[in-house]
Amino acid sequence: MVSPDAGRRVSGRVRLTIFVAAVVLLPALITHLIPARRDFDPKPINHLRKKQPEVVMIGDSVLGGSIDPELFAKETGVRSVELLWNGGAASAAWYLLLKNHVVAADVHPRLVCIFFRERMLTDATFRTTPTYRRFLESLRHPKEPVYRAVLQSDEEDKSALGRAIDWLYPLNTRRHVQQEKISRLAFRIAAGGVSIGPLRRRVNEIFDPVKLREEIMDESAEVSGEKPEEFSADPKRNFLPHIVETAQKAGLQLCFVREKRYPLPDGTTPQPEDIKRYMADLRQWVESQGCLFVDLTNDRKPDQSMYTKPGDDHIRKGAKAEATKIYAEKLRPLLRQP
Amino acid sequence: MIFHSLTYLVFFALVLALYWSLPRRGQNFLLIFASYIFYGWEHPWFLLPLWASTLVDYSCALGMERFPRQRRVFLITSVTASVALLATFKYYGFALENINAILTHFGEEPIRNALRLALPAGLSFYTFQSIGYVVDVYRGKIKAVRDLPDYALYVTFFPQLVAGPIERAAHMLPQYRSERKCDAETWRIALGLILWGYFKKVVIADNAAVVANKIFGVQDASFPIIWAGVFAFAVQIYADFSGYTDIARGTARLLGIDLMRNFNHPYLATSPSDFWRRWHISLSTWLRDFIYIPLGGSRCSVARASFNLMATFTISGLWHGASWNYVIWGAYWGALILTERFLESLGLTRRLPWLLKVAITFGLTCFGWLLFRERNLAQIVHDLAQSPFAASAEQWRMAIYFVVLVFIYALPLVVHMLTTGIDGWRIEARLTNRGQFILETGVAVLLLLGIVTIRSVATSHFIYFQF
Repeated sequence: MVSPDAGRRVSGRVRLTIFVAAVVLLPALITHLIPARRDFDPKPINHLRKKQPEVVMIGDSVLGGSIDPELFAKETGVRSVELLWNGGAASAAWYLLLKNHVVAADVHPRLVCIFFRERMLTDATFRTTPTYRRFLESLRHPKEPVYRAVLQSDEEDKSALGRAIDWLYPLNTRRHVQQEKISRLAFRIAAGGVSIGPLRRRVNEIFDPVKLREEIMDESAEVSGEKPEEFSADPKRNFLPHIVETAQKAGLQLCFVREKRYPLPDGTTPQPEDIKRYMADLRQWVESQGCLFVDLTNDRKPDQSMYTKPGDDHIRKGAKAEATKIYAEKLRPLLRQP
Repeated sequence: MIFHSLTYLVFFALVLALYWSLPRRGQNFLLIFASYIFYGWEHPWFLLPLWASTLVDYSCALGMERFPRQRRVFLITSVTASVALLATFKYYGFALENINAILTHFGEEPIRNALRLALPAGLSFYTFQSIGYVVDVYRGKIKAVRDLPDYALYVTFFPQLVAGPIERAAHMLPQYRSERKCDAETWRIALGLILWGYFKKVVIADNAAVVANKIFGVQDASFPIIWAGVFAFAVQIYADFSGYTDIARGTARLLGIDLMRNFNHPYLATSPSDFWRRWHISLSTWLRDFIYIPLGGSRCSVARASFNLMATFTISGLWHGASWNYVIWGAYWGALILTERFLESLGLTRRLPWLLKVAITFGLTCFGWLLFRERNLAQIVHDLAQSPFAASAEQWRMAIYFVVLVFIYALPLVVHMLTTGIDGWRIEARLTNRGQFILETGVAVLLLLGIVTIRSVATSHFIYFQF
């Protein structure tokens, strides 16, 4: 005869076992059923192969808004120009674009230009946060030793328990993808049926470091103990030397194009001393590696009237043709004969 | 050590494994030892003020019983020591800052700050808990503890040491003195509570924190953006603090110890005083019993009762932090409750529909959170000066984005609130025992799934650790 108390105890234990097993195993099963990572997207490779561009330009949204590839081709007399840009791309994406798209497509353009501003080429972690990681994953192969080493992916520093959790729940390492989906959903609701791009850009703009409160800036400087960063071509810390090496191995002529930031009314863009020093060092280093360097900062044009709005580095739509001609004029002499 | 770290999970698994193989006294010693490791993990020196507080209050309480005529002296000694501890670590810098402002105003040289001490985590929690014990012994409500380990455990019990609940000796000491039991059903409920606490912290609070921290870091935020940030903070602070409490309560239950409930759906409050019956219940009842009532409570003239209330809430504000914004926040709540009493006396609040009362109280609470979150008084003035009519449609859309984003993460909290916090909507009342088990298990599965798939990439300390 089993007492009611004993019966309750048994039932309690059974329930606890079912509870623990369900809680531990069901999420593991579900997360294993969802693909662990977004696959590398090979479509751009085929596109490049078909197009066989003579000039390839890599950059972010500022490049996308500044250059009309057809007009540029016409102005410089080349057959075709390919723009590889993505809003929010930076050095990590540019390295992957060059290696996994341009070099992998086995195309031989006369010039590969990388458009950048300030310290973007040597700030490895810039734009690698969750918002951008999804795009980066579409450029990545499953194994990217350089990418992992430079960004010091946290997977390598994990404890055995941490690794076991990642093994049991693979989506644990891909939380940024779900978060990005949630963020997009919120953007869609807020945008009310129109494109979310402009709203997203505005949201990013209000958190621009220059718009942060002084105490936040002071705190972060205090915490990191950061001084304005000097130029460094340390392959352990940034993608620049890897970009150069990849191009060299593939026999590609690289050209680094420094975009002009929003200027003063007289057309000049103010440059702090540390940036001037940094740019001089950067230029010296890339030229010593056989790369070209173009800097529009001290040019009169583009002027304020060509930008979307004060403080913004994007060229407005109506000025895109003029900007394209400015770039064509600068880059034409650098195009080597096929 | 923090709850949401792998180190803690390993630590707790070891403690738990050992704990149930020991006799009661061994369990107490293990808990004390574990609590000291937990508390001194990152900053071992934090243990010094904790030990000092434990020894002084233990001795004073014993002294009160041994020398009844000097009871008052022992009480004053103990309370002074606790207040001195708080003053040294928490209020010294704030006091000096204000003295220097006055000195500078009169053209005098400011005093150099020679003491730059870090605030030990949870200092305000365990000093209040100790004061509560000593006062209860003084009032004769409980007997002084003779066994030092029992008292040390009362002060240091690690699940609630850093951020409460601020427990009462009468509730905790009998539990430390008796054999503990923990059956399978209690374990299941405790694990569910812990899971819910973790979800609230790492999914809801930490994701809301990303929005709140960003917005409160912007120089010239417009009206809609500021209030979207306040909403994010309202979600963050509730999910963060109640999440901590749930983890603490669940952990304690696994150890056979019951901790008091610290939250009761505060955002369903229908008035300011109702909010304080539901928010940080252990602090509000402590303030009621050890400050408000000793000052005279409400059984005196209207002027005196108003003073008592304002004093209690101002102290509550100051308890939260050594900064004027907390003092203003406390005074704001005092003023709200006074206004509520006045309106009630006119019979104006009775006719309002329930939902409107909840909405008004939530709005007032959010206004309070702005005062709480903004440390700089000039910034508070700036925020309040923003006009909703000056904001562009685009700024409103951005604010909607932030609110929707936070709301999506907070959705489980809303569902929980609606299905367990409103009479007549309670889901458990409609379920059979088996149905309830299936529902609880299903929810727990979803919670863990949420933790592993949408946990914030950036995590932060619990907000109340700093108090």
